[in-house]
Amino acid sequence: MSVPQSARHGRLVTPLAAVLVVATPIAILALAALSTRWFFPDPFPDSLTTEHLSKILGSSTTRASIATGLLVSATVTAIALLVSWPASRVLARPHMPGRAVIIVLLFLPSVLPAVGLAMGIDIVLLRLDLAGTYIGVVIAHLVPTIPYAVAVLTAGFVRHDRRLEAQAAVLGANDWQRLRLVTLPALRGTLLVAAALTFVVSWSQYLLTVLSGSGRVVTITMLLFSALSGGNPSTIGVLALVAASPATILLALAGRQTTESIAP
Amino acid sequence: MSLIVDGIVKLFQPQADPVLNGVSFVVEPGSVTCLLGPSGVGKTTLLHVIAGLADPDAGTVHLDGASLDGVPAHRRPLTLLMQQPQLFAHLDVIDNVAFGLRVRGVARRARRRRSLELLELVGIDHLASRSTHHLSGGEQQRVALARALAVRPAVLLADEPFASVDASVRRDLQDLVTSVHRELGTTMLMVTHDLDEARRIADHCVVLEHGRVAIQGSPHEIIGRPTTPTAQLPWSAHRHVKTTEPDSQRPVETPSLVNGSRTSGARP
Repeated sequence: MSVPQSARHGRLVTPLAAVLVVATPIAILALAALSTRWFFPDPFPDSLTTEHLSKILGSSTTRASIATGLLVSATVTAIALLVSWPASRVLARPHMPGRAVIIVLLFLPSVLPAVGLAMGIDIVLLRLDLAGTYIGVVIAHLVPTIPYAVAVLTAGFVRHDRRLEAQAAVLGANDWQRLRLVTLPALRGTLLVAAALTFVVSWSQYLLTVLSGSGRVVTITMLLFSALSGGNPSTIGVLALVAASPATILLALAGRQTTESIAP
Repeated sequence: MSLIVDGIVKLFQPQADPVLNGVSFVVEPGSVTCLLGPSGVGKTTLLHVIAGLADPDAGTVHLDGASLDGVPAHRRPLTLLMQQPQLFAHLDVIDNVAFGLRVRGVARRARRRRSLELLELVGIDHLASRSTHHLSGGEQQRVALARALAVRPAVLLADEPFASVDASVRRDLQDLVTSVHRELGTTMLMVTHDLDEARRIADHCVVLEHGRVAIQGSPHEIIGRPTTPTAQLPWSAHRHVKTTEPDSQRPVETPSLVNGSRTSGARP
């Protein structure tokens, strides 16, 4: 049965609109990053150059902030997944009482006003003498990231057939072998999505990083916010692109993984 | 190896009636024993207790004279063929069959050779490198059977392994199990509630009812003569025989309990 042309066009409109909404700001940032002069109402920059890009990327401050951001977010991701894995496994048990309430409680800090949350965490870190340290920033980032990891992993465990692990056990697999050879491969897609989300949420934290790091732990997101107050579109463009890169790559990978796991 | 099930009691809730209430029987070495009974009588639970996937509240399981109390599932020399094949989707057919050998540390070449032998035995060696997604229900159950046999289990437990396939495939699989048993002589304990299946495969039948062994004996003793009134059955299994074999052209035989030997736990 042929699909009417209007319906075919209708199907294209939504994804096209979504791509435009996402791609337009990124395209503008990319143009800003490569422009020498670009003032309103000109639709395009006068000329393009890679001067800003190489200057900012070559700066030791930028490189150090990227390294710090990667280190913080990678550590946060690892810890969040390690903590969330057993918690999600328990939460996903059939007839688990209070599952929805626990997940709502976990997300509660994330829906509180960010300043209040950041201040609260900062006070705790100050008392523990961890404010302004790398460990302090990691602990602060765990608060908004663990709920995402728990929510994604719980959904994965709910769909996961635990009889596969029982089958592996009766075939002779011990606990570690069941985890390595059965559970992890079965939940690979879920784990990647959880890791990507956790990393991105950590990577984009500004207020929490500023307060818990006391300005001593500087990530690329903090440099970007500083550049915003400076008002130089080229610098903003370059830093925004750099800041968006890991998140874009990870989410694309996670999206691909999810699509593959859904496809028959 | 002989398997002795001795007074197994299993409760799902402390105050509730036990699902298994002192189940005892013996599976003789090299025999095929069918565990029969209506749905919900605890057949699967009993297999899980024997396999080490569930702990009994009382009673013991002995294998060749040694108690399996406290032995975790992965250390028991038994395998369990589940109702659904439970194949590992990220592994191809041969790696599924080789799984039990892999976790035992068997070298790659040796485990592939053994897995191919088993796949040949169950008639699907041509599917060795195939993804499990592309197999039919019958092929999947053959892979599961090969995988269970690859580790040379002392006893193969099977939980209604043919329930998820259609009648014609089920008949093929029953014949396959019979021929594999003849070839390898593996001791088997198989759950079914299909009396005809028990008649075709079993050397010995154990019928569970209300958490106890109601009757046990040879299929001939248990299922009996066609003229016996069906009212004597411990459950209405004769209906199951009819409904699970829509393609059968044979007249349905009416099972009975004539000559069946009741155990001390049997109800009147």
